[in-house]
Amino acid sequence: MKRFTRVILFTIALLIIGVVIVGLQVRHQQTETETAGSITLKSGGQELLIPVSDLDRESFSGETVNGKGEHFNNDYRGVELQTLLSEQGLSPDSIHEVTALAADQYSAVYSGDEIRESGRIYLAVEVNGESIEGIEGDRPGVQVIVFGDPDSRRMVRSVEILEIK
Amino acid sequence: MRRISTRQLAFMAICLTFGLLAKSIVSPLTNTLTDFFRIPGGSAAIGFSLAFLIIGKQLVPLPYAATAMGFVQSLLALGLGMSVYQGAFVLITYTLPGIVIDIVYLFFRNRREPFCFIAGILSCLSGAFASNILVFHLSGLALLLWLLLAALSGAVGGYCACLVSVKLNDIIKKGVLE
Repeated sequence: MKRFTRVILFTIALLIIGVVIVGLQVRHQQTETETAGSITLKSGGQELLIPVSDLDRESFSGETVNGKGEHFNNDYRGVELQTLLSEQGLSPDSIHEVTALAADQYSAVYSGDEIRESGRIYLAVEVNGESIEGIEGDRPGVQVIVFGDPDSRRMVRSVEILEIK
Repeated sequence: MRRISTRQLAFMAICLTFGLLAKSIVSPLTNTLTDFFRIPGGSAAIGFSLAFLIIGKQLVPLPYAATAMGFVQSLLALGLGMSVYQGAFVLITYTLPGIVIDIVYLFFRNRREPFCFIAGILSCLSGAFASNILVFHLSGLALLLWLLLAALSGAVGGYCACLVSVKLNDIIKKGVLE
């Protein structure tokens, strides 16, 4: 066998090993993301998967209202929506509205003005030290928290998709 | 600029058509691999398409032959609706590998094996990289896997082109198409 043919076959073998190792690593990463749960950001035809674990960033607290009109003061962990969007290269100034879609297809719309208002809309993964459960209870869930909004129906639970327009 | 003969044009047309066909034939098989890894298909099949451009470049060693074949391939892919995800960007992602093949040929004009192999890898990487920047926007490990698959596909395609070139040695050496 000629020397250069050996070099070619050796390089191909190395590339195959590289593909297998990196491929298994990618697959492992995807499985972890699925197990841990994730939300999908949809914007301009692009989709981005964000693991729920990436949303556990800061503590925040405030008063919310439930469907019966009762007021609660809760401590949450999560991330402010405008911060998350900015990190993904979506300037809050350019956002017209965001639709949150839950696992059960329930949805709510948040205006650009609400999102730009500091300290108003958050994505929470933990409330009063306990994880927010998803609809099926087997995976961590994400809930939209809207401070200062008397309409509790807009605090969508088990958010799966955030559609940005 | 050297005039191009009808025979050379015919061989270029055959090679670029075979290239497009090869990609269509190999894609369902390679897509099972890319589907498993959940990355876009295409990078694993591109080498089998570009192998024919490498063969065509050796048969018709004009300075712009591979670029021309890549550009015509892009027009055909666009016209035949083979570019579902890339749209008009195929004009760039199909032509760029042709340009790379032409450039590599400048350095390895008389060394068939290095030319086929290196042109295969670099042209596939350039096509995959351009597709990622323009269309897919992969990052991190997914991008690394995408590029590794492209390089592997280019290496295998380049090696196949080399083996075919040996069979076509008489035509290439005697310059029947010159």
